[in-house]
Amino acid sequence: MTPASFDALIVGGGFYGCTLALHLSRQGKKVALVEKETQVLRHASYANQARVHQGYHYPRALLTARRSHVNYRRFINEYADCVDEKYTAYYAIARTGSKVTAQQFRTFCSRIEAPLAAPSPAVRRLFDPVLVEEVWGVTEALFNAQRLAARLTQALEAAGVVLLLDSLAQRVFSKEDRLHVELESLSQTRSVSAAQVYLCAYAQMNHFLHRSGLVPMALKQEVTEMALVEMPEVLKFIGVTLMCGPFFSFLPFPPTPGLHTLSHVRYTPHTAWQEGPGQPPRAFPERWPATHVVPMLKDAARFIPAIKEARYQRSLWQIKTLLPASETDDSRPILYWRHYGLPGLTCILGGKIDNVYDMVHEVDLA
Amino acid sequence: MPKSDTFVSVIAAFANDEAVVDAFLADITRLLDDNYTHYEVILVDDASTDTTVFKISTALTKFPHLRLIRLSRPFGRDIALTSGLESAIGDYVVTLIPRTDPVALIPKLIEECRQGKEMLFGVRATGDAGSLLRRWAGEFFYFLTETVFRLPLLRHATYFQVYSRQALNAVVRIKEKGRYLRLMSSIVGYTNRTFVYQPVSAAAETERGWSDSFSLAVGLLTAHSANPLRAVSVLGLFASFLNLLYALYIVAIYVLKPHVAEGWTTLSLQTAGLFFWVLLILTVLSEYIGRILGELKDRPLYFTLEEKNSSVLIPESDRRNIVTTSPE
Repeated sequence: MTPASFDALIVGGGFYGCTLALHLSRQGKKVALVEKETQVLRHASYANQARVHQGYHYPRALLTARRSHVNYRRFINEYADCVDEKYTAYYAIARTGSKVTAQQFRTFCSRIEAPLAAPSPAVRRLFDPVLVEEVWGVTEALFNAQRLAARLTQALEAAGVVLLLDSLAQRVFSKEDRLHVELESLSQTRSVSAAQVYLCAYAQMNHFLHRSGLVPMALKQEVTEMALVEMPEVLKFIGVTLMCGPFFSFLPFPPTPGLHTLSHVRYTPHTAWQEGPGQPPRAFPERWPATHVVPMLKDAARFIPAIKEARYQRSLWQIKTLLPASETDDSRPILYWRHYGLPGLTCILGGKIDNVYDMVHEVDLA
Repeated sequence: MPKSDTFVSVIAAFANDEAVVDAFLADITRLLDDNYTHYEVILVDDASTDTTVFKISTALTKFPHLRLIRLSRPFGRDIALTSGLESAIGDYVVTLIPRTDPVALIPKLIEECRQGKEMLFGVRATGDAGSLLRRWAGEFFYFLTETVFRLPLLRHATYFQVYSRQALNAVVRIKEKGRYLRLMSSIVGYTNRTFVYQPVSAAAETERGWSDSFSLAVGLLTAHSANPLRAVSVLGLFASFLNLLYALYIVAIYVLKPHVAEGWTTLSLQTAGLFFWVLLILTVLSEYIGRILGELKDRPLYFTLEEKNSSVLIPESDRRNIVTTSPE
């Protein structure tokens, strides 16, 4: 029987929750981590393009770009066995409809000191010369979420963090200066207490707050689809990101060798809704909508004709949670809110995995 | 009838068309949904000032596969439709003006395109409206385009057109700033055919005033034909040759005649004649220089204010609080 009292309880076993649990237990605290799935890193930390951002992605948000560039090295060094650099990433600028020009992108990259390399003629020929202004090769690692999950589980166990898997955190309430969290699993419902509760439940955050009788946060929830496709031979070992507007990107997906994730700014989001004060969180769809893979491939093939040969396998669906502020400027700041509604309850919402170091830094300041 | 696997894009240009938005969207969505598995409807708003955008935005939450492109200021139908053409992804692409063009024809037209025609051009069944003078001016213009400028301009051509992917790729490659879709489409070649149809309403076609018509005509001619420039060169050459003869004549008079006092009339005549040619030449040159300037500026053809897509909420009854599909 696991103890029912901790220094810190973390709700949500994604990359942020796991990292925070490890960090706090290294400080000598007694830590527990609650996750509703049977393993950690099953949702947003898994179903994404696995990109460890170097900063190239954010030509319109310099701060996000610079932080990414700084955190990139740190992530690559710390998780060397979980990253894959054995593919070539290409960034391309579309001639019409792009919010940045090739010249602006070049200036931006030199400002954040991220190198750009000229592609080989064979690679350049993959791109339609009329629709694509310029292409560069870059180094940008991909993380393998499965290996990352295995490694984190091992580290959590070694650090003595109590893993409460297959348990849904129902609600939190305050009693006698401590926070109590009700856990629900198949067999039973029980309650554990902690001095600090960190809510890292991403898309489920508002549901948890709502069930606890607290005001939901102002967030945008988006139903998103990424297609898993088998690319033709010429595209097998490359990833392409077409910037910077309603375009697409495809990258090898490390957990399923041979398949690429294909995501499209226009077709990946299916539907969205707002949550916040006065707007209670909506239940997630029971069935995912019909796939958008056909328009994704049709549009991508205009820019890279070889994509016509791509074969669709299946889709990865996810609820993506966005802060209202990051919608227009493309930045992905971390939300960090101490004493949210209850003393000792901290809400954390991260946009991308490599910013985890900024989050840990913030927790230390508290 | 089984649905076709062909991906169809329909591009509709709106400019203060609040009256037709709802009916058009309902019609086009039903029609495409009945006939095609995959389709998109691109709605380009040419900076409407009425409730057109509001109505379309509302429809985005009701109908799937819609896309709204809002232009930052009025650019005209050609540019509006071009902005849609540049981002259309379909195998076959239809352009139309919702106010006048009957959507019910679309499946038949696309079927014909599939049978091997690369492009189809719509032609109004009704003749020109307006005053007699106006119609004569129109006739004169078409006469000029056929004989002097030799442009393949179709009489009564409309924006109701169907492109195959191949033809569209060719049209998108033409990067000229002066865009006249009705002309450009036939310049790129490919097998094509015209179809005659009865517009739903004749109102939209007669809105253009005299000055608009004139600038459209001049713009269209200078954009697509170097013939006026050539004609001016020939005229200039001819005038200078006449001038040369005249100079010889003056010299001959001076040498042969003892008293030359009455030269004032001749001199004025010559000056007047020369100025006539020179001004004519300048007029035509300025047209072309203006055009060259436009091309040199290299500014984008259009600016978009925003792009919005359909975001149809899944009905509440389909929802519960758990995501069942987990990865793998």
